[in-house]
Amino acid sequence: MRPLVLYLRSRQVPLALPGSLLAVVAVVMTSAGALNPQRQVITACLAVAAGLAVLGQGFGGVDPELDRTAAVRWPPLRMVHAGVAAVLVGGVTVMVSTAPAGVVLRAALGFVGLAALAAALFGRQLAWTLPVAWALPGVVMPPMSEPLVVAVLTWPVQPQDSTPALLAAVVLGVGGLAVHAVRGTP
Amino acid sequence: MARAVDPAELAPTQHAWEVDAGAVRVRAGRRMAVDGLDLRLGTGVHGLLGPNGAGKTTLIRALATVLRPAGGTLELLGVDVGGRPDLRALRRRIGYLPQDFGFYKRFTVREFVEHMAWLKEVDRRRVPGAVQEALERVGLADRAGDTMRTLSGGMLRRAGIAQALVNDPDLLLLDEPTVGLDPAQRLDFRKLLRDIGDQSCVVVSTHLIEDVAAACNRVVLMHTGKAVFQGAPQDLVDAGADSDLGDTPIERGYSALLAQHREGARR
Repeated sequence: MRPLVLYLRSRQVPLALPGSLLAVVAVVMTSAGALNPQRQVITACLAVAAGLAVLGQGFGGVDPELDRTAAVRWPPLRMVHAGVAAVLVGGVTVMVSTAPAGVVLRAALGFVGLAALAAALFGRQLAWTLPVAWALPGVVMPPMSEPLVVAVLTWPVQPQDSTPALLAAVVLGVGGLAVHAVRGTP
Repeated sequence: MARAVDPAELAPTQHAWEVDAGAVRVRAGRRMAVDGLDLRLGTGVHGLLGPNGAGKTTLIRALATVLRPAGGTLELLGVDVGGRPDLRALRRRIGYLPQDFGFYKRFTVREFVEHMAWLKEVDRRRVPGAVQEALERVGLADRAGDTMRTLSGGMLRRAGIAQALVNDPDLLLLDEPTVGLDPAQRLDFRKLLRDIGDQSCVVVSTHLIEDVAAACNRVVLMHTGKAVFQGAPQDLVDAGADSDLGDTPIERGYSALLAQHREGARR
């Protein structure tokens, strides 16, 4: 138990977790009472991206060099850490938002992959960059299903049954988690 | 503190040298910072000397398994790191203090070293004792409950040394460990090095030549990515003449050998 507590503290989870859930609730609240269902979808996606952006800074240790020389088996640990973050943020968003659960969980999968990928490429402090960057097109662009490029670009806010959006989320999610699990942070 | 002896500790070593490098090349960014270095290190304290940019830190990072060699052969504790070995088993037996290290500021000193012990997969039952012993060896036991952010530079350095010691490493790598230590602490540190060097292979990179003279059995002098001299500290002293640069005999030897190598490289 104590190693787990020390690990979570070293990743600043005790501070980031309440902050992340607060961010989710705050973003969802901005559309409280709005009747437009698409607005609920956009807000829920932003909430998921914000929540994972906050937790993403824990996707690496303070000293990557000391982490790299550690003997523990990193890949499963990194995978579980990011996976739990996605489940928590997705779960809370489903509870507080009126957006369809499928859209929210799809967003959680895609955005956690993006946060993990950003952490692996740019370091844990910049883990927020890719989720935030990819959440924004959905805000300014209507969720058109044609052409395919637009559908993929706006995958978070596409309808629940959109195949390109689901594929985009799966590729980003699985790919991002895998790259992060194997490489860790620079 | 008494502890059970692991059978692995009593097993005879299968390798002649803790570090065995043959024409090893290691890249630091685009530059080949270690370029064709031959090195054999056994048990004892080895001082790694050389001017800035000689490749000392890159070599230590390769020995710590942070960097993979780009060429040549490198065996650590009998394990060839050029192939695809199980690095985890090797890393359990290596202690490493980087030149600068990051840490979670809200950890107490004890929590920091304990967390590192977990990262090094020290047997869970042994962790409290190993942490206490490491803290005592670096003289930080009385500050164990203080948070890392309240420590002075010298204390941080000692906390860093403690984390490198906590897994009782067979290969201990210290990159400029004496920076920030006051004179009394440096004397204690030299004694600690000699103690550890009785059983393990210790590699210490430093700019402080007098530390090498006092604490090391062997000296390796690096220049432009190669080992240009290996020998006892006395051999380094003997290499110098009164006309060479330096205030102490060993400094004069250091200057003389570097000058010789620079001249040889120009020709």
